Parts: sequence; structure tokens; C-alpha cells
Amino acid sequence: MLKNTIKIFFRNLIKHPGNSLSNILGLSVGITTCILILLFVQYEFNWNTDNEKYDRIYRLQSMSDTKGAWQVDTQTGFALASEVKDKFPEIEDAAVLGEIWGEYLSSSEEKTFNEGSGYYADKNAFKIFSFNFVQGNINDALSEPYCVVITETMAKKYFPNENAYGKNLKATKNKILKVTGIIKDFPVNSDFRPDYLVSMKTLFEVTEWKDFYKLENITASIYRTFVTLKPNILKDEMNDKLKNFLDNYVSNNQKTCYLKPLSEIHLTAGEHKDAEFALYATASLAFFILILSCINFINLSTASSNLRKKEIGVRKVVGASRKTLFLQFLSESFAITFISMVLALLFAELILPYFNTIVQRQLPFNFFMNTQFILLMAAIFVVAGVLSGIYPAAYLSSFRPAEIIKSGVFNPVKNKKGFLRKSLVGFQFFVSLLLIITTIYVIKQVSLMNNKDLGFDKKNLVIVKVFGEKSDGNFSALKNELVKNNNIIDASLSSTAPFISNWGREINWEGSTASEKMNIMYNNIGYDFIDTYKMEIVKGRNFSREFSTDDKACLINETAWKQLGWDDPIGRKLDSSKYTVVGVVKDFHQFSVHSLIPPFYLTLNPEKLADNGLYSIRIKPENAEETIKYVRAQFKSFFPNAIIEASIYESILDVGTRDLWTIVEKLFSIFTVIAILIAANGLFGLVSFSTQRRTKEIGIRKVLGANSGKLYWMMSSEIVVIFVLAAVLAIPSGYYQSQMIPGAYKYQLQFIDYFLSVGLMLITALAATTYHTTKAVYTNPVKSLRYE
Amino acid sequence: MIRTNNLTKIYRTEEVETTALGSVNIEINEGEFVSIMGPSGCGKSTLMNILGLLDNPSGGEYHFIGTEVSKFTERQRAHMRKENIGFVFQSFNLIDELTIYENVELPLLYLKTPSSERKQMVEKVLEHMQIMHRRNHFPQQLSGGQQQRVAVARALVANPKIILADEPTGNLDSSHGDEVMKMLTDLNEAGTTIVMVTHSPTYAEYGNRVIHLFDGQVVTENYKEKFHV
Repeated sequence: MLKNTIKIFFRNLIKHPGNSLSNILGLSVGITTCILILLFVQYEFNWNTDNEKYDRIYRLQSMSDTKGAWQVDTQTGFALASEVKDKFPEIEDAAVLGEIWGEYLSSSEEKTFNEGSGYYADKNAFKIFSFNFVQGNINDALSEPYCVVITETMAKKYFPNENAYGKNLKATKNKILKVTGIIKDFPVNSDFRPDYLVSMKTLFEVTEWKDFYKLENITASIYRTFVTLKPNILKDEMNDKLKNFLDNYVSNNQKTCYLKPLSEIHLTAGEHKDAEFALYATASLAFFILILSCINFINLSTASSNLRKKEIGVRKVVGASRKTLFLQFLSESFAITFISMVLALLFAELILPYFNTIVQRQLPFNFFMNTQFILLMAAIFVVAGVLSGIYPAAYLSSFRPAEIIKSGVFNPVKNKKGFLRKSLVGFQFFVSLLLIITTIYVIKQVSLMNNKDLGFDKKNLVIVKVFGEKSDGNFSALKNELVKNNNIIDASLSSTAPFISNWGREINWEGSTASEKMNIMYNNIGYDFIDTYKMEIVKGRNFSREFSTDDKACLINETAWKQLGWDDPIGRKLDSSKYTVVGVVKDFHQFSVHSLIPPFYLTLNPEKLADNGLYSIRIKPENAEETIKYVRAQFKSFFPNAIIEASIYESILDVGTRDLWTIVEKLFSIFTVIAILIAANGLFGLVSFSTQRRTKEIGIRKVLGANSGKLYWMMSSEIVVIFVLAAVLAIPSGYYQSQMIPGAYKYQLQFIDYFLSVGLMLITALAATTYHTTKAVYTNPVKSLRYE
Repeated sequence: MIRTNNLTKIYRTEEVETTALGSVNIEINEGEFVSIMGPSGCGKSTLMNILGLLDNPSGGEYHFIGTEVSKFTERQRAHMRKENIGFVFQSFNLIDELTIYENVELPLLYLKTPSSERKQMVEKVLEHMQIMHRRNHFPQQLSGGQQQRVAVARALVANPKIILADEPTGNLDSSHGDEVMKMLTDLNEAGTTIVMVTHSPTYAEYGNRVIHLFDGQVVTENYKEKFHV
């Protein structure tokens, strides 16, 4: 029997090539899309999973209530790791990591590089994260001062033709670091991906702040603390115990300590879950496309049942039960799904390089190595097979043999005027509309993020970092040289810059109680910072050289003003009366535009800029490259022994979240078009069958005097009614979905967006139906009646 | 073999109720060759569908080989059908995608006949019908008469107790029609019960009894001797 089923399956495939191709290609395009999107989503959800203890690793961080606004601090004091390890038996290991910024390492003069990701660490880090040592001993690689463990890539970079193990690397401030270990590189999708680790004991030797390890500084915001919990310890229970832990060390503590799973770090970096939401939305896009393909398959299979009616009738007459036929047609659907899946895997492999360019990732396609993917494929196979097969199998096996055999008339047992088929078409319209609305939303949201007023002018700014030499802080001589170039408008020095780095602290304010503290971001800036960034003073004044007391003055942003609750902030005191507010700056974004603007204050503190200051230079757009060369040259002449790094500000601006949203925007734009084409293809096929069925009716109506307009309406009215019903459901669903998206600044869908979505889909639907409708309407009635 | 008692079939739509068969009482014995005649729409095919267990009656009783089958489910009917009844249709109803051999083999597959036995049975009946040389051809490659021979072969292959033929000569020219009637007569003479619907009084004569239907009722029953008078 199986042989017979297989034979007839393949013969039918060959006999009706158009139909078979439409079914197989439709389904395989859906599955290909699903594979590619899910590969991307899987990749994004699998950051950090290469760590053996992935599900037990947590970052210890804190949260503080600043006048009702919760702020998260991912950095801690040094002592927190050892304290929690001592006090809580549930904690298996704890490690403190000190990030190293802007370190230049060299093995020789020509082999000098600025290394991005380095940490001070000890062997506890090896107990938490999975390090693969190629050379060196995991237990003592970081046990002595001035030891460094580097990755294989770094080893090859600094010592291309020799074994790096045991060699020395020169670091800034003339530190000599001995390579005591070489490790395999961490996978690209790791948040903790150090290029090198310097022994923690080195930090004790080089840091200028000698009290960093003291318990009273446990709430400081400097180090990263990671822990592993023992197996079967629940995060929530542990968080309950940690909640008031910091109160034991600091009086009037306002910070709450808690564990953030490593699995959540990548997608909820700033505690706002918009990235995670965007990925779920993308995954549902894949799911919807698969469903659309399956619905196509169902509609085309049932509509083309005419092609199988005789076979069904004969099989029933000679003894096939409904169950036997049901299983036969279900297996055929699974066979088509299987063929489509094989094709889809092939397509996916071919398209993957281009897809990788779109998603800006190197997604691997090692099918047999990816257990999750194999399971996913199995799930897609079962879902697509069952979804596509169940209804057609039930429908086809339900025909009454007597009627088919005698008259060739279809009369399935339970087919109430094609209700299910209409519902499926309606569902396709609904999904397509929802996808168009979502795509418009995503495009507008990304545009909002790209074009949102940041509170300063991000264009034509150059950021310069100087490594290895201190500046004089007042910066005036260098600036005078810089502005001699007509293409340089202004220049300034500051400790941090929006989107590049940030500093936060707790302060009190005039009018606060002894226990009240506010978590606030701050920046030390030079006189020209506000002008260079084109920030706006909304009240009071900017710092000025005319006021000798301005070193005790500060500017606050509008959010700080609002949170502090002062009617008039000018003249009020901050931070134990150290600073007097002289002006209010219009709110500016410091982090992702998806995050709320934090309270902020700016002080004028040039001496603090002497080390690790950031130089911001506003240039004219013309001849930018030449101008940057000039900037470099001027800096080099002022800092002959330093390494100068100059970059265009926009190129380093907020790459994280915005980057993901931009990818999601591209995915939605491309795959929604594919989804619509899949739906349109299904509709095209469906209308083809329905017009064939109604040829006689159209002929008779024409003979009786119906004009083309009436016939068009007769053929299209059903589709239009279904479309209207789908639109009535899709519009509120689209609105509801847009409201669900997390984030502080969201685009609000407008009437025109809904209008565009509905219009676009309606035009597509009518275009898909017009060909066959026109053909039917303009066929000579004599011909169609003879045909019947 | 077949006995019906007040057999009725009523088709209902939302507004209309049509009586296709009203109180049909017939009895067909083993070994008989019964022809059913009547004008279009008189209920011949409806009666054949019910007798062939392709459809259930709306009322009355239907005893097939001693079993009351009028309330059988589709599954029970399918089971009873495949073991006992062979069908021959006016339009042959061969599956275009299967070869002649595979078409004839089909009933045996549903009977789960073992492969070797199946092969013997199919070849035997193909030889008997003189179409063995066409076994690997597809139906469209055969003439109408040959196709009907294949259909008869398929009806016979499982050795059914009865063959129901619904206008078996309707799509054939007279020479092929005669050939098919000869085959059916030979089968009947070999002991197979045959019930045949036909429009042709000539072919009806091949049967030893003719039942006339009109408006869903049996109006006359003529035995061969009587029919010739």
C-alpha cells in the first residue's frame, strides 16, 4: 500500500507541475524565511551560552530609588564579591573584574595597539566563565602582579612568528606585563569577551585610589562582580536575601543589591526590554510567514481537490475507508513538507551569506552541530506538515463516493459554504495587514531613534583621545591652534561624552534630609563644552570665564530640575553644598534613545580633565578628512609621545540597541514583502480555482445581460468583505501591539499609517484576483457554457 | 443475497425535500443477473449506490448477505464493500495516475492481500480479460472497450460475491458494448451475481430479470421468460 501511495504521490506531482510547484515553492519559501529569521533570533538569544555554567552565572548589580525613579547600576564596589561569597553559602564562586579602558599594549614599537577589552581579574574569574587555556596554568596564571593572560588572536598579533607565552608586553605608564597564559578566543556572541586579563594584584600596585578595597566603599560604582550560584539555588530566593545586604556596610544606604542572570545581560542591557521584544516580534514574523505558507497550501490543496476527485471516489468504492484516505493525504502533505524543507535548507544555505550582510552577523550554518536547530527543524516539519495536511486530508477524505463517481460533484460531508476556506483567507489578510502595520511602526520607530532630538548636535563632531600623556587641563593653547583652521568651529574638553561613557554618583541637595540621596549622572566639562555640543541653556547661564567662582558652579539638566522639585533652581546648592546651580541645560540623551533621560549635572573642573579627558571638536562638513588630519597633527605636536585616536562621533554613537533595531527594521521590511507575496500567491491560486468553478454561472449571467462591472463585483465582493473584516480586526491589534513595545520614547501610529497599510494590502489583494476575474468576465459565454 | 424492505432515500436541502426512492422492495438471489431499467431521474443510480453500500438509505431495511446494513457506518460499509462487492461504471473510473496492473491491484491492497498472492490474482484476471499485454500502460493509452475490460478486471479481482454494473456500456460503441455484455454473461454463468443498470432494452435482455423503476418506485419486475413473451 505504501508503494502505491508513493507512486501516486509522485505521479500526481509530475502530472500537475504548476500546482505542485506552487505548493512546494510556496511552502519552501515560507520555511526558508523561517529558517533564516530563526537562525538570527537563535543567535541573539544564545549569547554567552558557551559558558559551561551559563545558567548559574549572575552579575551582581544594584538598583537605587532616586526620588521615585529607579536607576540601575551594573558596577559595584571591590569588596562585594568576597563579602557575598563569605556570607552566603548558596554562592559557589564570586569574582571581581576591573575594566581596563583605552590601554595601549606593545611588544615592539611597530606592534603597538589600543586594546578594547581588558580586565583586572584573579583566578576566580576562571571558576565562573569558561576559559580554555592553550598555554599556562589556570591556577596561577594571574597569581602574581604584572601577569597577563591573552587570547590566541592577541598572541598572534603581538608575536606573529614566536610563542607569546613567557614574553613581555609593555603597557601604558611603563608597566611591563608578562604573558603567563594564552587562552582561546571567546565566541563573538559573548558579552564577557576579554582580549586580555591582567592579574588583580597589578591593580593594587598601579591604582592611585588606595582605598578601593575597603568595605565602606562596597557601594561604589567601579567594578563588575560576577557570581555563580550552587546548583538548584533559585535566583528569586537569593535576591530576597541580598535585598538589604548593603545596609550592613553603609549607613543611609539606598541601593538594593540583586542578581541579574547572564542569560539576560545581552538583551536587557539597560533594563529596558525593547531589544528582547524586537527579537520576539521578529520570531513571530517567522512564525506568521510559516502559517501563511501553510494556509496557502491548505487553500490550494482543497481548491484543487477537483484534480483528485476520481481517485478518491474509486479508492472509496474499492474499499478504502475514510481513515485510510485521511492517512494517505496526510502523508502526502508531510512528503511535500519534507521536499519543501529540503529545498528550504538548500535555499537557506545559498541565501545565508546575503542574509548575514543584512543582519550584520556571521550566522553559522553547521546544521548537524546545532542541536537546537535540528529540534527547531523537526518542530517546523511537524507544525507545517500537520497544519498543511490535517484539513486537506479531512476535506478530501470526506467526499461521498457515490456522488463523485456518478456526477463528479464535490460534496464534502462538512463544508458549510467554504466557511473554513474563507476564514483562512481572512486570517491571511489579517496577518498580512498586521505585518504591514508592524513594519511601518518599526520603520518609523527606527527613524524616530535616528532622528530624535538628542539635545545636542551629533553631526560634524570629532572625538579625540590621547593615550600616554597628560594634558594641561586648560586646553587653551591647543584650542587656539585648532581654531586657526577655518574648518574647525569649536573645541572642548570633558570627562565623558554622551553615548561614549558615563559617570554616576549619589549626592544630596539643598533641602534633602540626612538620609535622602539622589542617583545622578555627572560630567566635568570645560568652558566650551556646551557650545561645542550645541546644547541649549534653558534657564540661567553657561559657565563663563568672567565668573571666577564657576569652579564651584554647576549646570543641571531639566530632568534633574524636575526631580529636585525646585521652583527656581538658580542659586540652589548640590552635593553637600559643594556646587551652586547657575544654569539649566535642555535635556540631552546620555544613553540609548530608548532609555529615559537621567538626571544630570555638569561641573567645571579642568584639573580633573588632566588625565583621560575626551576632546570634542566641532568641524565643518566640508573637507572633513583633511580637517581630521589637521587635528591629529596638532595633537601630535602638543603630545609628541602620546598615541592619538580621532574618530567621527556619529560612528561611535549608540551602536548597541539602535543596531539591533535597524536589523529588525530591515528584516521586517524584506520579509513582510515576502509574506504579502506568499499571501497574494495563495489568493491568486484560490481565485483561479474559484473562477473555474463559476465559469458556467458567469456564462449564464452574461447571456442574461449582466455587465462586466456587476460580474467583477460578483467575483470580488466576497474577497472585499473578508478583507474589511480582517482590517477591522488588524487595526486595533496593530495599535495594541505598538503599545506593548517597551521603551521610553515610542512612535505613535497615525491614521495615515493605518490608511497606507490597508490601502497597500487591498491593492495587492485586488491585483491578485484581477487576472483570473478579468479572464472569466471577458470569456465568450458560448465558450464557457460549452466548456461546462 | 439482497433483500430490501420499504427502502427509501430522501434528499433534503434547506428548502426542498426530494424523494429519490420510495418504499422499494426487491429481492435478488445468489447467481442471478438482474437488469434495472427506467428513465433518467427515476432513482436507478440511487438504488445502485445503496445496494453497493456507497450510500445509506433514509429509511427501510436492507439485508445484504443476511446482514441488516441500512444503519452501517461508513467504516462498516467500506469493510463490507471491499470484501463482497465489485463495481463497474459507465465512465470506467480508472485512476489515471496508476497503470493497468496497479488499478486492478487496488482492491487487493485494501484487503491487505499478501504481495505474492496479489500478484498471482492480478495476473490471472488480466489474462482472463486478455489485457495482460497492456499491464504497464496507463488508462489513457487504452481504448474505451479496453478500459472497461480493465474496470471489469478490477471488479473481479477480489472474487466478489456480487458485481454492480452502472450502465457499463454507456460510453462504448456497440461492438465494445456487446463484448462487455458477453463478459458479464460469462461471469454470471460462472456463478457471479450481477446487478446492472442500463438504458438499453437489448442489453437488459442479457439479465434473467428486469426491474423497472419509475419515480423511485419499482413498477414492474419481468423474468426473462416473461420478458420475451
